[in-house]
Amino acid sequence: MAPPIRAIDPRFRLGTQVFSFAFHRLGIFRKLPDGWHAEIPRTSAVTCGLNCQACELAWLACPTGMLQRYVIDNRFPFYILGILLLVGVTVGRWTCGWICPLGLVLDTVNKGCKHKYEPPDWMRGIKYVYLGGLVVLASVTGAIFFCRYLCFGAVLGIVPYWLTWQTVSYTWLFYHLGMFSFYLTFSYFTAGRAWCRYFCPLGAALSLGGVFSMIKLRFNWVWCTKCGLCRKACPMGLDPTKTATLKNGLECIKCGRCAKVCPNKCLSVGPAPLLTPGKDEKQVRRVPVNGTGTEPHK
Amino acid sequence: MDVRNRLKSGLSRLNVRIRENFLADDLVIRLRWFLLFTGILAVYIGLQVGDDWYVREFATYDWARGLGY
Repeated sequence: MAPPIRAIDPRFRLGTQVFSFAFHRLGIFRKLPDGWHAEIPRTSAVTCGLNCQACELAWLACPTGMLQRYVIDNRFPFYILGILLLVGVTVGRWTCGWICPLGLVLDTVNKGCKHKYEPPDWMRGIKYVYLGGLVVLASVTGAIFFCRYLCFGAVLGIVPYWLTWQTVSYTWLFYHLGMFSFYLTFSYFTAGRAWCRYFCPLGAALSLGGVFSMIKLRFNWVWCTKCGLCRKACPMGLDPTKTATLKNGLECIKCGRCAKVCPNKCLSVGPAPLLTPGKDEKQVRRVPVNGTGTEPHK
Repeated sequence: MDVRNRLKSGLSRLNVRIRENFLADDLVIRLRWFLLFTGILAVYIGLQVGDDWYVREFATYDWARGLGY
């Protein structure tokens, strides 16, 4: 059976990521000599990528930083929660795979990473603890605690700041470079998307809506030979053939790497049915949970 | 060990139950639309109540100083 027609081609992913990285840094025009571009504001419009607003070149806000600001200011974050819900339900963690600026950094590292160590599965829960913790810590300490001390993405804020203003405390610069190196080394020895898999609070927020995402990974078991290439290629450490499981619904970033390596084109990333389950969906529902390709052809 | 096995089998049964019931296609589709409208409502309230898309104090806030740089 041919793969579904309405599929997102994963070959466009690198281009999308590079474009997104540049788009998030449009504030670079502020640094040019006088003109209309000097007026580009640093907005409070939210992007669903880990994009540190402390970066001199940023012009869109990261939801985690904004959420903490709302908590500190005792405002209920209708806007942030609404955006997270909207993005979560429409595209889910697709943004992690295609839009997030840090995703590009991690994917680049992933090119040569060594998958020597597979951390236990319970560690995936750390990101939900981070998500709850950043709200609690912001309200207790009255500071943007998570970004200040724990965030991998803060390096994208502090390094450009240091390069453009030179007024950064070296303690903070080296602290964040150290944190970045720590997460990067961990990613290098486990899998390139270790931050997204275990620690990212934004990924945790989006994953809650991701179960209902309108973009999903689809699997056609009929041609699957169980070669396991998709499992090896998955940066999130999932078994892409188990599309119907809750774990995949929460964790899959729809990067399409599994679809790219599949020799029989059994996997594809595409839109989910909006009104009633389509033919393809009914087929997905028949996928056996503990193995694939073993069902008789119907 | 017995407790651990019972816990594991209980979690496994719960997983199967969630997969079969909670992730039923019809329910997911209905909940998806419900959550979508909830999200739109939340953003609308955010815009109406707080004009949140461009909060001046957030937009002009020195995030780098806020982070202690």
